[in-house]
Amino acid sequence: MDLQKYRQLFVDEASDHLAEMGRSLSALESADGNPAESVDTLFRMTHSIKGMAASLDYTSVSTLAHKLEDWLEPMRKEGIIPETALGVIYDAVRAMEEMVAIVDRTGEAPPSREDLLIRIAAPPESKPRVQEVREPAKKAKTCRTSLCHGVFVCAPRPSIGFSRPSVT
Amino acid sequence: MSKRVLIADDAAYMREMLRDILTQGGYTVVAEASDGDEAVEAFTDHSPDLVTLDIVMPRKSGLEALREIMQRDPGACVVMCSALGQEALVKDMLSAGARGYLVKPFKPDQVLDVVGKSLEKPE
Repeated sequence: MDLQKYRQLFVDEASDHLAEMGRSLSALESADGNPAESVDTLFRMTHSIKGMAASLDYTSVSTLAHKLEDWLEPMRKEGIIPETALGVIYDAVRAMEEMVAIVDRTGEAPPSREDLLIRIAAPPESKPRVQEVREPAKKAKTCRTSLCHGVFVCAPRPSIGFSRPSVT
Repeated sequence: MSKRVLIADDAAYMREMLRDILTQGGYTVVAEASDGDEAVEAFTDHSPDLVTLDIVMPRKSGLEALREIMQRDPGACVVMCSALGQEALVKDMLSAGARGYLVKPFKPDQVLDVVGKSLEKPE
């Protein structure tokens, strides 16, 4: 694996994603545009940063992004952003910008931000800022399976209904 | 003749990584897509032997794109790419017709193993 090439790709793409997150946060702060789209963008950009960082073993970045992604997921599904959450998200974005800058300068994994991990772990206060009504998640039928090396092996059993998270 | 692959992921980084792994593994990457709509369009245009499809994409999710692809070609060979923490969606991928899945971060040997087995698996 050409680490130099992927490191540069990571820096370039993560920087673009973080800029996009900044724009989404500004839109949410000023109640501009579609809030559900802004939340979705925050989620997707965080998700991408997590994946890229994990592939390069930048554990501090992938851990922070993973925590933020998990924290954003219910907000994304419900379309609700508590006002108190915006500050934490801003700080997380700034922290990731600093981490990416360290990677760019040194090529090394940046140090962990334990302070932010603790803040993100605490649930945001329930103070809805924007709310959008969404259709309830539809149930999906599945059959029971065993999984072997990431290839599905389907057992002939009756369908069992599962509730499906609404993923866009 | 090497098998032809379509890569769909909104992250250029991930598309590049998969392209490198698959090319070194002897596959031909015929097209790339950065969202679900492009993935369905590219599938129609190129008729690849296999599609790698990220679950989280803009405009149309990977699962929605998978369903459309399977509707167009019930024999399509699709490998879904999920990330850490998305394993719960595996059952949904199966219901929708995916042949296999990969979890990021990608390891080259695992990618080639899953892709190879998915192509061998009967429809």
